[in-house]
Parts: sequence; structure tokens; C-alpha cells
Amino acid sequence: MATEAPTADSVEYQACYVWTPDGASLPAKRAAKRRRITTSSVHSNQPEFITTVPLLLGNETHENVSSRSAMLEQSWHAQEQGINEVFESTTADTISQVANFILQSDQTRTETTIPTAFLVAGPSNSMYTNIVRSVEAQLQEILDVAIVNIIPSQIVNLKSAIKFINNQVTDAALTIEEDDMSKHEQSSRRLNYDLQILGDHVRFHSTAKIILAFHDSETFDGSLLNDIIEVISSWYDRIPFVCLFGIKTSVELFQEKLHRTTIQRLHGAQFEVAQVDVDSVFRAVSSSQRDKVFWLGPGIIYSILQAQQNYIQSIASFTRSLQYAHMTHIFANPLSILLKDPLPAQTFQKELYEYVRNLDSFRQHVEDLIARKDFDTAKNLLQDNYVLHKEVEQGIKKSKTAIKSLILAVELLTAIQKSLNNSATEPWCNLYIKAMAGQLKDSAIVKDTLLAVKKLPSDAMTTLLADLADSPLPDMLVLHNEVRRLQSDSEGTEPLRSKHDTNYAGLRTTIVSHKVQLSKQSAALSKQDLLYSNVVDRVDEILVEYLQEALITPQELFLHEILIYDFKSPHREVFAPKPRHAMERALNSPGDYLGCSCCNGTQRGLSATHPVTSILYQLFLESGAIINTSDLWSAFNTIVESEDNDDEDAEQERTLALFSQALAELKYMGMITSSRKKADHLAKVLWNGL
Amino acid sequence: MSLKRKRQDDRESIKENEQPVLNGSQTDASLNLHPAPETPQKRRRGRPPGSTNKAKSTSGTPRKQDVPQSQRSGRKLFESPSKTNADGPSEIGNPIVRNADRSARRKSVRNLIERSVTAGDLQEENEEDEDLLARQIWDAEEPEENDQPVSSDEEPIPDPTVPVTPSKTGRKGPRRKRTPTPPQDLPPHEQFFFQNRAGNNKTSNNTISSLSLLSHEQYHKQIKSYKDPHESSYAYLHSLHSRSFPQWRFELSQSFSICLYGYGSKRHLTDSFAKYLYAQESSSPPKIIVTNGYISTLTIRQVLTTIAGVLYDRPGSSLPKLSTQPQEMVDSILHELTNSPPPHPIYLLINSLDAPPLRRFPTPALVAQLCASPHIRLLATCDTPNFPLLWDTNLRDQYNWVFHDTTTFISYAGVEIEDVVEEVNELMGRSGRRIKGKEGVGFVLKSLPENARGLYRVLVAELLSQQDSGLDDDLEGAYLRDGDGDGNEYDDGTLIGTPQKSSQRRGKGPPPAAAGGGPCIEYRTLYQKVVEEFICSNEMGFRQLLKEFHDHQMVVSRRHVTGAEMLGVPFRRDEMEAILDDLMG
Repeated sequence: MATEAPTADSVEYQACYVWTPDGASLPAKRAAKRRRITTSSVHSNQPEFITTVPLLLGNETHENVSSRSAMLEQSWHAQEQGINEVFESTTADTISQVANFILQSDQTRTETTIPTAFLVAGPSNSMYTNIVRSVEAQLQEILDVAIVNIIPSQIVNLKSAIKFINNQVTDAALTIEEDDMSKHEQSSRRLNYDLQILGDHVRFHSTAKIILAFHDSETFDGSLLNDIIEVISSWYDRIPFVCLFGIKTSVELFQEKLHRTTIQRLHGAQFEVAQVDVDSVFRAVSSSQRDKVFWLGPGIIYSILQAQQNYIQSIASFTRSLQYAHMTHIFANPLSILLKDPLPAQTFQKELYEYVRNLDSFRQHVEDLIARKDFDTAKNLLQDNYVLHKEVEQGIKKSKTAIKSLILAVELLTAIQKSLNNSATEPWCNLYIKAMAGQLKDSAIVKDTLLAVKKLPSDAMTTLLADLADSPLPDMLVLHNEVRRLQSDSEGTEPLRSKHDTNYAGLRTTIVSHKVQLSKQSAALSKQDLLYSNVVDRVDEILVEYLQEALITPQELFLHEILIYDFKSPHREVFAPKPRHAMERALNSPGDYLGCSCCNGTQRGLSATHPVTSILYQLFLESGAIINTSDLWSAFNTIVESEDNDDEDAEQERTLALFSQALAELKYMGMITSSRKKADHLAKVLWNGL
Repeated sequence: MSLKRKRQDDRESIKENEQPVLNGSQTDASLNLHPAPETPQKRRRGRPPGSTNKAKSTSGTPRKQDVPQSQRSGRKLFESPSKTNADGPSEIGNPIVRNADRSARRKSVRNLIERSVTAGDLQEENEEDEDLLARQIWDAEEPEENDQPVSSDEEPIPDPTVPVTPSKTGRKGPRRKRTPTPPQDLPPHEQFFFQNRAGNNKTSNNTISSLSLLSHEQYHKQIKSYKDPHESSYAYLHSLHSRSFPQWRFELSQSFSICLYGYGSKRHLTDSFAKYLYAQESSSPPKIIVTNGYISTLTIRQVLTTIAGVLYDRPGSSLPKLSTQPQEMVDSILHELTNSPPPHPIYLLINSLDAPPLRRFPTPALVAQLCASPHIRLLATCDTPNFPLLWDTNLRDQYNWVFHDTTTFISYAGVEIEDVVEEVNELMGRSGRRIKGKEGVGFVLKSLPENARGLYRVLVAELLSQQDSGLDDDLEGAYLRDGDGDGNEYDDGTLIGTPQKSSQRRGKGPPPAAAGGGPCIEYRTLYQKVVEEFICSNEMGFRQLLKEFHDHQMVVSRRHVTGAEMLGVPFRRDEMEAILDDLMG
């Protein structure tokens, strides 16, 4: 096959080949000959080709295209880092615990029990993998350890398991120090499933630990696992094994897989891995601390979260959705170049001016100017590109600040809610969505929170104010000090009360006189309390003022179209496709796809002009669970047959060929099989619209 | 022989006591010599489309009620010659009749059991027909049921005599009132039940005559000359999808994998995309590996070897000896990718990722492991509508898909479907047409020695007699094995006689359903028969003869549930009869 010149046609029938532009395929082995030619270009480690394409109908300058690409890199990179930090911070404890356990296993080491760590890591695979990797990294700084990752599919029996362990450890060592003749000679004399190889290796390299990390532990064959443990425990006096098991369900359930004797050979410890939830990941991504180029709108976040809730999806898929949203905005929106900071004039192509002038928010902006009778500015914006450039530069900065402070306000709200700790705290995602939709202002959440703050006694208030000291709220530190002063001035050990704290006052009055009188309550407040209440009022005032200002509606901002990405469309199709529906639609009403004049009739249903498979599919839909091929054929023939044909036989043969083709296609797509119920019958396998 | 004889007699006396109803009805039409084996099937098929009441009234059950008394005498009339004249021609007919009785009963029992065990089988829609029939046969054998008139099951009122489970008869009532128009706007789950509702699917008994199917030459001639009127639309769709190439490339560069779905062959699209990729980075073109999943001989090792070939194709590294284990190959490829990453990512374009060769267990996991590497970029196409079911959450995480609808409408035929004519033949249960049916077989047989022809004759005759006796293939396997001696004893006679009989019966109604399965015989049984006929003397010779047939695809073998090898021929009944005629003549 290699000698004859392959044509483009034959490529289709080749199972696997290296693609070349002339349509010829190069079998992998032949490619080796061409090695020398490519030598020059290969070594220079060129940067990745820019994959963003020129927008503005292809008129975008090359600089802009590449800077958009860079911008994506920068904007998503920051988010990704945030997510990684979340994972690191949640698992850091466990990692150091596991590492310590392995380190200290020397002391607990007895003759036969193997130190074993059970990591209850939840349903996601990646969590356990990451932990194992981090543990390895952490241990390698201190000790000479070798880690073997064992996946159920990799080992089928005890022999292959030991072979695998041997290979992994000795191969890993080989990459570090090249040919080691003595070791090589020794091991070559042994069978490759002899643990003595590993024993020699350990002695030679004085490896401190051989860590066997079992992935997906539940799916291991129980007896195989027992065998492995039995074997390695008999070698434990020569090879310092440590076992790690990643457990998705519970240790108890996993334990049922093991024999009692096996369990006796293990010295186990259980580690719970804290789970990372979507909320905390998203919080990390959308935090005001992150360097953001643009923001995701409420609609898309809502739909991503909804998908996350409705289908069991991992955190990884969530982050990927976020990443895709970032990609879409920068890849497809030419105006995203305006997010560049600083924004030099040459970036501003002349097409971009027109694009900006067509934005809804720009029109709104101009109308506002006219309403304010600022006709000159409005006129200049429409006519003078330079003025527009400056305005956009300013506008983006202003809007960015506004959104940032909005996020800050939301963070402030959550901080307050957290220190109130009696009220149910709203998840970050919900608050974010509400805030970005401009629904937070005057919402029940804000009102409740503010009311709760007003009721705080002085001790809780001090901690809250201390927490808020580095927030953008003014005078927090001053107020904090004032409360503390008031508190220290008061004689009693009890904290000061605010006059808004009706609950507390009411409670006290019932004890005293069985009479509940409102006037009595305020009278009951001491002078210190009243002073404290004044402070509380100040705090409330500041908070209300701040929130009023910060909780804006982002959709009213100038140039919000650039700063907030909020389209559901490509996202849904790309991540939650309906492949079956698409196929059924294509076959059922091909006019939707083909856009031809013949099939685009308004009425649905069969038409002779449809593609043949489509006709047959529609006939297929009309029939029951088994289909008589003969009848199917005559129905098909009736539809497809053209009237003005002289040669009837040839016509029939042609139709039959098409029928055969359509039938074979339906079979290929798994819609029909042959039926054994009756002669010449087909069985329906797939039903419509399910 | 004497022992056999005795046993046979025993059996016959038992038979007489049991009063097999079917024989009685046969004697009614006493001129009809061998209809008994047909009866169960005939009844099933004998229902004209549309008019169920009429169909049922002509079925066997009521008839036997008309002539309850004539049965015994009729039976005796029929039976006596066979007893006195062991080697006469009537001996030939007898075992068939007896077999038919046994088999009909056996079959009905089996059906009843199967019905209750595999209640949820969606494909066996018209099982209910058989179920009723099975019950009729079963009930007919019960003496006390014999006296009561068994009314036809078509009456809307549940029949008290037929001990059908109440639920079943109860269900029949409302179903009858079904309107032809399907209800609109059902939720998906209701739609499922609606479309899967039990009930007789009345289909006509029309069959496609063997002649009307196309040969390869005819098909290719027609398809070549055919011009699809929508070609311009297809081209337009292609250009539409091609516009997304930059986007796809961008998505791939962001470590996503792409999955293309939708109706129509997508290999032109992937080819164009490969061209696009090549053109984009023409200064140092990327390595693009194309895999055609629809090639039935494709193995994952081929893909891995190709990747490894590309990966190690650079200075300073030579292709190491790769393991033969796919998993180990993947490990070493990934190892190489992380340790000395290639300057450009390798593009892996897979056509028909959901095709059978790539569907099997470790393959999806291995491909997923590969494309999780940042240096391998995967674009795959899927052709079946339910392909997302192939991957669980973990695999999906690894694959990191983005999906794009690329409906192309380009026919799968020719490439993805390797051989349309063959596929259709298989659907119609005529896979024997591959070797040009009867003529082809005759040609092959002519060039073979006498004993090979003998073997084929025995095989075909055996299969035909088996079909006569109405035994299904699975049952036959069990039946023959449970007592080899018994099986032989009965079949000895039929073997010689069958050819004439079956040729007589040609043209009598449509052949029984041979699609898909067809009858088959156990390897050992066939061997014994062949040895008995002195066609070959040892198993070596037998194997050699069989191999010749295998090579010409004249024999199909499959595994029985019990592990026994079953042999059959890829022909339908009429063809088998014709072949046997030729062999005998």
C-alpha cells in the first residue's frame, strides 16, 4: 500500500493516516524519511499562531487581532488563577495531613501493616488526582519518593499489576539518571513481574517511600485488590509501600470489598477532602479583587448555574462554561478591543467609530446629553471621531469603576450577612445575578440586612465595624473606635443596645412588669445606649447612602454592551446540544436546512422533492413497531416515481437503488434492524421525538 | 434398532392418548399430506391485513371444534401404516407430524415463559399475537379445555375459557377504540409510551420477491447516474459550515475538543477543515491525523501507532519499541508529550467517533486520555442520534467537548456504509446474495468433490427439515442436545425424504421468516450425521470441508447461548429448497 500513489479517493477507506494537502496519505513509517528536511524549523519554539480572526468584515488590523488574543489570555488567566486558588486553599489542609501521615508512617511501621490513607474525595476524579499530585510534590522536597498511579483499566490481574508497579517506578528513575548498567543487568535476569526488581531498585536508590495511589478505588475488582495488598504486605519489610485510596462513596462501603485478613494488613487513616462548590468557585472568579477586563451578565450566569443544577456536572464543566463565555466575547465582538487599557488612538479603527455609534447605550447617552441641552457635545460625539475616542475611553473607565463598586457593594453585603450570622445568608451566585440585573437596590435582601444591622448590640457592632474597616465605606474606623469608647465608658458588663432593638427591649420589659409599653422601652435605654444608638444611626446612614450609590443597574451604563457579556445563545448550543432533535428535524423537514425553493413549502409532510432518506424516514415514522419492507417500498416508489418517464423498468431500478441507499442509511443511523417476526419485515428501533 | 423401535412405539402410544388436536384437523383435509408442521406458522401468518375477525375465524382453533370426534379415528387411519411399514414413505411424514405436535407445544410453552420473563422487550411488539396463539395451543392440549368451545379472541368481551391474565384481556378493549390520528402535544415520556404501546401492528403479508432486489452492478450503475437535485443546497450547507472553521480552530486552541453532529456524512467537512488548518499555518504546517472510525477493521492501536509515529518523527528521538497494550501505548505517548512537547499540537480528526470500532470499552477512555493532553487537539464527528450516551461525566470532562450542529445531508452510502446492497440484503435476510444466491452456490459446489457436496446436501436438508418441524433455532439447539439419540432417531427418516417433500411444498404461501436468524444446526449433530452417511470419516476431514464453505460464505456459524457452535446457511427457504433440488438432481 505504501508504494502505490494513493489517490484522494482511497483515503476515505483508510483507517488512520497522516493528512497531507495533496490528498495523499503518508503512512506513519514513511514520514520518518523526511525527518531531515524539517530539522531547521522544528527547533525554534515559535509562539502559537494567533487563532483569533480579523473581524469588522475582515478589515480589522493585525495589531488589533493579536491584541484581542492577548487580552483573552490575560483576562481568562486571571480567572483561572482564582479558581486554582480556591482549590488549593480548600485542599491545602488535607494535602499536608496526608503528607504528614506518610512521613510519620515510619514511626508507626510494624512488620506487616502497610500505612494506608483513605481519601474521601467526593465524586469528582480530578480532586483526588490533584491531591495526589500535590502530595507527591510536597513529599519530594523532603524525601525520595516514587509514586505509582494505578487506574483500574490499567491492570487486569495480579501479574499485570506488579508488572505495572515495577515499570512505573523503574522507568521514572530511568528518566532521572540514564543507563544504570548494574541495575539493568540485575533486573534483566528477573521476570518483569518479580517484586525483587522493585526491591533492588529501592535498595539501590534508597527510595524512602513507594506510594501506590489507587484511583477510582470502588471500581477495582475486590479479589484483585486483596491479592495486591497481600503481596505487597509480604514485601513490606523490604519495600516501604504506602497506599492511597481515592474513595467516592464512603470508607465503610469500600471496606466491604476487602477481606478481614487484608484489612488487618493495613494501617489506615481516613481523610475527608473538603468539597469545592460552584458558589465558591464563582465567588473567586467574580471577586472584586480579580483583575477583570469585562463581566458576565446575569442571564448567562443564570443559565450556566441552571445547567449545573439540572444535570450532574462537575466543577470543571462549570469553569469551562465560564471560559467559553470569555472566549466568545473576545473572539466575536470587535468592540471588545476597546477594553484595552490604555486605549491608543491607532487602536481605534474608523469602522469601530461607526460600530460604537450604533450601540444602544451610545444612543441613550446622546439622548441624555440632548435632554441636558448639551447639544455641542452630542453633535461632536456624532461627528468628531477624536471626541468620540476620548468619550469612549472615559466612558469605559467610568463604567468599569461603577461595576467594580457594584461588586464591592455585593461583597460588603455578604460580609455583613456573614457577621450577622443569625440571618440566612444568600448564596453569592444569587446576589451576583440580582446585582448584575440591577434588582438588588431596594430589594428585600438589602432591607433585611440593613434592619438587622440597626438592631446589633455594641459588641457585635464592634466586630462588624472592624471587619468593614478596610471596606470603601467612610468613617468605619472612627465609628469603631467610638463604639469601643462608649462600651468601655458604660459601667455594666452588658453590651450596649440600640434603640431599634425592639426584640431585646420587649423581652426585658416582660420580665420587669408584665406590661409591654413602647414608651417604656426607649425610656429604659441608658444614656450610653442612646449615644450608641446615635452611632448605629450613623452607620445605617452611611450604609444606605453607599448602597444607594453603588447598587446601580449595569444595563443602564454607557457602553455596557462591551463591558458585560450576556448572551445565552452560542453557549446553550455548544454545551447542551440536542443531536437527536437535530437529526430528526433534518430528516423530517429538510427544507429547514436546505433552504431550497422546492422543499420550503409551508406545509409539513412528505414531498417528492425531499432527499430520499428524508422521504423514507417520514414513511418510517408513520409505521408501527414492525414495518413491511414490501409495503414500505411501494409507498416509497409511489412518492419518488416521476411521471414523465418512458422506460419504466429503468425508472424502477433507479428508485430501488435510492430506496436501498435510504434503507441502508436508516440502518446505519440505528433506526431499524431486521425483524424475525415476519418475512421481509423491519423492526423499528428508534422512535420520534423522545 | 429394536430398542429405538420400542421407544418410538412408547412415544406414539403416549401421543395417541394425548389426542393431539392438530392431527385431527389435518385428517379432515386428508389429502393434504404434510401441512402439520406449517400449521402454527400458517395460523400466525394467515390473517389477512385489516380484517382481523375474518382471519381468526379461519384459524385452526375453531375448526378443530367442528370435528371433535373424527380426531381419534382419523389419527388411527393415518397412523397405522407407519407402524406396519417402517421403511415406507409414510414413515417420512410421521416424525414430522409428531415433531410438529411436540414443537408446537414446546414452542407455546416456551413462548409463554419467554413472554413472562422478557416482558419489557420493546422490539417484540407482535409477541402478543404469538402469545395468544401459544395459549391456544397450550390450552388445546389440556383435556378439560377440549370440550369447551374456544371462542375467537377477537371478541371484545374477555374470553373466560382462555386463561389469559386479566390484565391482558382488559387491555384489549380500549385499544380497539384507538383513533388513527395520534394525540398531539404529548410530553416526551408519554410519547414514549404512546409510540411503544402494545398492540398488534397489522402489517400485510406482502414480500419482496428475491428478484426485485438490486445486484451490486445495478445499484452502482443507478447511483452513479443519479443526480441529486439538491446538490447545490448541500454545497451551500457545506460553505455555511466552512465559515465556522476559524471558530473551530480557535476553540481547539483553547483546549476544547469539538464534536460535530447532525444528519449527513461529515467527512468532506473534516477534510476541508484539515485543508484550512494546513493553509493557516503553512509556514510550518501542523501534523494532522485523520481517523476513519467507520472502517470496520480499525483498531485503537492503529490510531496510537500513527500518533506515536508523528510524535517521534523529529530529530533527537527515534521511535521506541512501543508496547502492544493500548493503555501502555497511551501512557508512553502522554509521557513523551509532557516530557518533550512537540512544537505544534497534533490535530486528531476522527470521522464517526461513534462507529462500532471506536465504541468498545477501553477505546473512548483512551481517546479521552489522549485529548486531555494540551498537545493533542481533537475534532470528532458523530453520526448516530444518541451518541452522547457513549460518555459518562468523567469522560465528558476529559473530552471537554463543544458541540456543533453540522447537518450536511450528504449520503453516508459508499463510504460510511461500506456496501449498501449488502446492508439491504442483510436487513431482508438475504445475506446469501453476496455469493449470488443459488447460482453462486451451485457454481462453487460443482467445483468441489463429491463428499463436499454431500455435506452441503446434508446440511441444507437438515435445516429444511428443522424448519418444517417449526423449531426455532434456539430451541433446536437445546432440543438436540438434551438427547442426542432421540434427535437422531427422528431425523434419520426425514433426512432422506425431505428433498421431495420440500420441493412439493414450494410455492405454498410465503416462506417463514428467515430474516436475521434462520435455522441452524449444532456442529456436533451435523458431524455425526455426516459420519453416518460416510461422507467423511474423521473430524479433520469434516473441518476441512466446512472451511471451504466458510471461505465462500456459504455457511454461517454462530454461538449458541450454551456455547455450542451452531451452523446455518445464509439463505432463505426457497433458495435452500432450490439448492437442495440441484444437489439431489
